Amino acid sequence: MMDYFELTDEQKAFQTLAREFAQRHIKPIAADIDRMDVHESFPWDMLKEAHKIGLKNLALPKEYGGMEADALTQVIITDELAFVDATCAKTISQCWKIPYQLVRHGTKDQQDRFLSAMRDNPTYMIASATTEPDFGSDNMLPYEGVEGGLKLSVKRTEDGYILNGIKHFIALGGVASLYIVKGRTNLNAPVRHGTSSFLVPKETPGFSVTAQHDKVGFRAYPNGQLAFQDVYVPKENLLGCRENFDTRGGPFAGWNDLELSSTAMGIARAAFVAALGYAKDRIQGGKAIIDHQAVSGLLADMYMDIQAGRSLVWQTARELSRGNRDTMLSLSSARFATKVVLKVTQDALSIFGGSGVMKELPVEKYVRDALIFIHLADGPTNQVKLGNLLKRPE
Amino acid sequence: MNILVCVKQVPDPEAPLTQFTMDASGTKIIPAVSVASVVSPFDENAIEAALQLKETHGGKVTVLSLGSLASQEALKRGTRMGADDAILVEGNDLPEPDPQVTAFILAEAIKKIGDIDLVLCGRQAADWDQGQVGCAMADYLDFSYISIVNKIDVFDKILRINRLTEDGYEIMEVSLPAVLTVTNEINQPRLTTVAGILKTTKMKIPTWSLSDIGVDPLILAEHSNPMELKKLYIPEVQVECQIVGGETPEDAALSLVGLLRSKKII
Repeated sequence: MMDYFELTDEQKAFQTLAREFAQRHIKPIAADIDRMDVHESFPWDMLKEAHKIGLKNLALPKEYGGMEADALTQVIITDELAFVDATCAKTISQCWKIPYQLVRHGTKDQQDRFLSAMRDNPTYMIASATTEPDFGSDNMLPYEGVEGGLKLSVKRTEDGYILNGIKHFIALGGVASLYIVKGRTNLNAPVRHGTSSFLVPKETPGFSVTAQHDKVGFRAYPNGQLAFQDVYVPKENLLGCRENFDTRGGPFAGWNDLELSSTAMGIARAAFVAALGYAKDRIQGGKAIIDHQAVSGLLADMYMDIQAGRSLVWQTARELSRGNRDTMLSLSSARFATKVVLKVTQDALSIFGGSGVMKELPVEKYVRDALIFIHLADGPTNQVKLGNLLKRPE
Repeated sequence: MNILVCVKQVPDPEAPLTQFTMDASGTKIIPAVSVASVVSPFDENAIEAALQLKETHGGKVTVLSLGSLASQEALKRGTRMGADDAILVEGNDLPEPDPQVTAFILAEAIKKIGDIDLVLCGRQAADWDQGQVGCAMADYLDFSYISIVNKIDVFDKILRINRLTEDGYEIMEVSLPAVLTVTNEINQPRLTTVAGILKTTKMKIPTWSLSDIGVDPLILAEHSNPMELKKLYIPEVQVECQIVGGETPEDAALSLVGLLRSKKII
């Protein structure tokens, strides 16, 4: 698919790097890890290779081994990786996103301890633990009622905190080395203003991973259930050594939406390319099925949607790279990309006919992987957020 | 050990045949605009071999190319893989294919760089596939020469190499300085790295003209290859399908191997 964005030489080089990395280290394993038991499927070797060439730590500050890659560079790379496999792409992009909490809010001591580990240890990853079985969207809408939002119990001690409770659906749960755990330190304030972040290394006594969620798509991307039983956190592991602040926001806010939307567009492009190739080869009615108008029309609409989505996502990323945070644009990117990936993957399935649902072909995986974006990137939460922003006076 | 790797930028040999057309004179193949320019694949093997030798034995790796300014991309690729330096000799409108002229110019550039222990090239470039530049260059440099190398071990100033033959390989020893051409069995070229890409972002690649290396364009004809290009054409692809079977998978495999050997494909 032609790129009409003017990329710098450096961005083109990163695009090539991502494309080649995906072909060499992701493509050979993608189908297998999708089918494996979720307790065994994490692609550790792929992660080590990503670390070796500097891809895993791309977004970290230079002193911690990164290059502080801007949003557009990250989008370009994510798109290429997700084209081959969304789960490996998401694993790597999560390594760019979550450490940002430490970069922005951590003390120098915390950064030295944990970001250095990211830099030096090929398999070191950081997860962020917010969602609980009874509280998901409540944590994000935002919801101003004090009774809403996460309820992980936090008790202060003389020199730290004791955590008790459960988190679930936690990305990289079970494979991360450090967890940034959100807990309420002020139950009289809304969740956004009364939550603190605790740095919990995986070996902390009382901390355990009690389940690995088995999902319909993104199967090799771990989401874990975490249990905290009298987990002691020393005060030097309170993020930023301060309580009650929202870690969201800041210069890189909006990246979450772009990460999801660029992953979605990579999947959509893969589904389109697969469907286009199939339509040119499959002969029915005496000709290639692309010569039947119903099929070529479908492909034409898929192409149009992908170019539109890709343009929106990349332009939003470019703006963020220039320092122009536009929350409405980034929310729109995430929502539009979700609509595109759902439509395109299902249209691809339709073009493949009966073969589409067979596991030996890749299309059914694209459809399954696309379903994740319904709640992650679109859905009522983001629609409400965007609607709320529109209500603001101009 | 100071190693120099000659690299050539070529149209992507993996691009479909339909992306290429003939020019009006019938002497040039024109790739479509969408065909990427890449480092000739065997040259990437040469870069990788050089980097592995450097990592084991120390020294420096320089990549050198003769071509238009666009060839800087090939040199950047080598740098992104880990080469220390890159140099371009600008050679526009040189006749192609003319491996003797190419070899002469590259040899003069290598003499100007100086202090080179080992020159590595890919066994043949992916456009003309002639495989002559390496040996001609060795002749101009008065270096030892071995072609189609798939293993290099270093013992002080002596190299022990494996050289591919039709039905196996030879083990040879050669003293430095030397020119070797390498084949793809020698290694799998590494990917570029983030650090390598950042290094090339602000990189200015020294670009030498022919006069910078003391080459008078008027004398190039003396070194020119007397070869005459008789005909250049894009072959028509004909597809034949032959089913090779056997009572068991092992029998089928044996039949297939025999057939491929009889057609000298393997």
